Amino acid sequence: MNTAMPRVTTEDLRLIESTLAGQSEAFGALVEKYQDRLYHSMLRLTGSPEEARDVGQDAFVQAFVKLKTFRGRSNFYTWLYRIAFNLAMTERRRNRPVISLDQTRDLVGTEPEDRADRPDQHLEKQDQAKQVRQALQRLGEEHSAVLVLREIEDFSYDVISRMLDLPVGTVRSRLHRARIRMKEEMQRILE
Amino acid sequence: MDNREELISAYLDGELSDEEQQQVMQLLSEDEAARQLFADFQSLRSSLRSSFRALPADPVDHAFSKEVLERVEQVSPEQPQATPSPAPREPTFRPRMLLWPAMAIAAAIMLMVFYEEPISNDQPSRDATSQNGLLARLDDAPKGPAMMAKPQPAPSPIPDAAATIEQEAVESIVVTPSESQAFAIEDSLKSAVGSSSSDSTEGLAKKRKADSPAVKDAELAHRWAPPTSSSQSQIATARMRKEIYRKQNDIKGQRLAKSAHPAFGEAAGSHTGLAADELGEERAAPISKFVFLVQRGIDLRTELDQLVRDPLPSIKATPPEAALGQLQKIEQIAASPTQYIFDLTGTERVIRHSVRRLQQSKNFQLVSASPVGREEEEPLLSEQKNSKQSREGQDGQKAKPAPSEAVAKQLPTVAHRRVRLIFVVEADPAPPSAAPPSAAPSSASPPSSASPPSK
Repeated sequence: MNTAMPRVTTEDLRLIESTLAGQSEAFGALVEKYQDRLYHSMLRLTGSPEEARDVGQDAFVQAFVKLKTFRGRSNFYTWLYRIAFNLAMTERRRNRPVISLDQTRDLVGTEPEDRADRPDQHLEKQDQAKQVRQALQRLGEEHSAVLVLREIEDFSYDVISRMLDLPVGTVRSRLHRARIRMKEEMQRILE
Repeated sequence: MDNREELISAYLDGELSDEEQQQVMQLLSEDEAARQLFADFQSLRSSLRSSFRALPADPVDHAFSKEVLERVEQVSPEQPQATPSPAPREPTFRPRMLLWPAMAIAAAIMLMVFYEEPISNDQPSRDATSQNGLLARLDDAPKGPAMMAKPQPAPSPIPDAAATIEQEAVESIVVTPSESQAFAIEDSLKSAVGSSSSDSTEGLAKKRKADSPAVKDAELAHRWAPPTSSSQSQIATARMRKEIYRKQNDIKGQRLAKSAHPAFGEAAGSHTGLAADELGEERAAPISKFVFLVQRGIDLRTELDQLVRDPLPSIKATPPEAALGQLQKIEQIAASPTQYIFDLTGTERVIRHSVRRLQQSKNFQLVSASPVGREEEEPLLSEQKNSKQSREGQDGQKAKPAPSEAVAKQLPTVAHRRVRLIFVVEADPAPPSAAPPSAAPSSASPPSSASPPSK
């Protein structure tokens, strides 16, 4: 069973210790290192570029404030992601109006084109991707979160259990139920 | 079927035990429905990943990090809860109603100290290589009659988490170059009690090794290494707290001894008094490590609330004359029945006063006092020697050997914020056969080899 937690890298440790020693530029280096990855993760989680940006920035600030509580038991990014994830879930529960990725794409056309496909194939793929994302959104927070963490972010059960503060066994069963529900949603779309 | 489906789901993620994995592989080889479900899960994963892969992957703009850093400039990192307060409060009047809570706290700490006390012949397994030398060496020294009237009880079979934490904290101490003199003193003391002298060299070698970048990297990784059990978690927490405290106070190489409430120790006594009545002499003996000083005229106090949060840095010592001010800190570096090592931190006047008080006591000999961290300027005790000898002559008491000139010259004077004092406990005036042989050299007069390099 894969239960190993990814360890924090020496480079990150140096930056963290320098930050704790008062060198703010070291924290700037951490931001530069992880900002793209975190932003895109939040984009996948929230479905909104604006919200992903806000959550990402808030997460970095929170991480700076709480940096002394970081024990090095996990990868720094995992710890950062957990902060961002919790912020995103809090925002979602506040029912803030969210412009979804698909709405954004419809409005401003930011989605990149895959020039390898013919136009009809490209549109078909875009449509399928949109349907999958919509199906995921319909699952609700409990199931969509665990699916994103596992299938998109590729976190282990152990990491997910720490992020969601759940036993590993619960993560396993919840992920199974999420897959079954997602499968049903996909079948309904195809029908 | 639910459990089987769940196993298949976890099998896809590679999160099964070996036994479960065999079970699923058997199932997939035999059951068509199971194979179909596994294929569906694989297809679902593929769809999810490709759908999100199609999302824009543009990097965030430069304003992102700039805005984060601007916000970070306006906040400061939070202090962890366990962080001790770096600035203890000034002493204040405490009403009588605080007596019982104070006693309760002291009793709790007493228990903690009691269970961890290492002065026992039945406890030879302290790892000298992992104790930074001194504590282990002193623990291994023969026990004299002054402090150990009876053998100590066997250590409790129940692991003492607090003791473990502290032991680990001691192990994690960084030895600074400024402590090289102290090592020299420790070496000479060690030879006085007949133990090996290689540990000091080891200590200095450790220090040199600890300064190398490779070792610092290893320390960095070790310090942040995740614990694997609850006790290791406690140890890691203790290390973190110590490290944070060290950073906040810019204290390097500080050795923190476990503390008990000194005033309680004074009231309770060690071999006698309340503690001895309640616990028996041998169990009461090691309760207060600081009663030794209290009985010799150094008033000790702690801040009660700080004691609760984190007792380690809170030991204070106050000479009786208020005008003298107070010692900033007094730390028991090590103790055995035959010797004590304390660090006093304070102004020159306060340290001078404290040393004078200590010199006036019986049955122990100040072997040396050496600065820890700063250069000395003028002898501290030169003016005290004559008055002390005169007092002893008038009292008709047994003349105690005065510190040698060499030792007196080592005594610090001005600007020594931290001074290390080493005492050798003299045997009680008893038949020679009653004293352990190894205590003899240290009881008569300080060995000449006990003199550390003064500068």
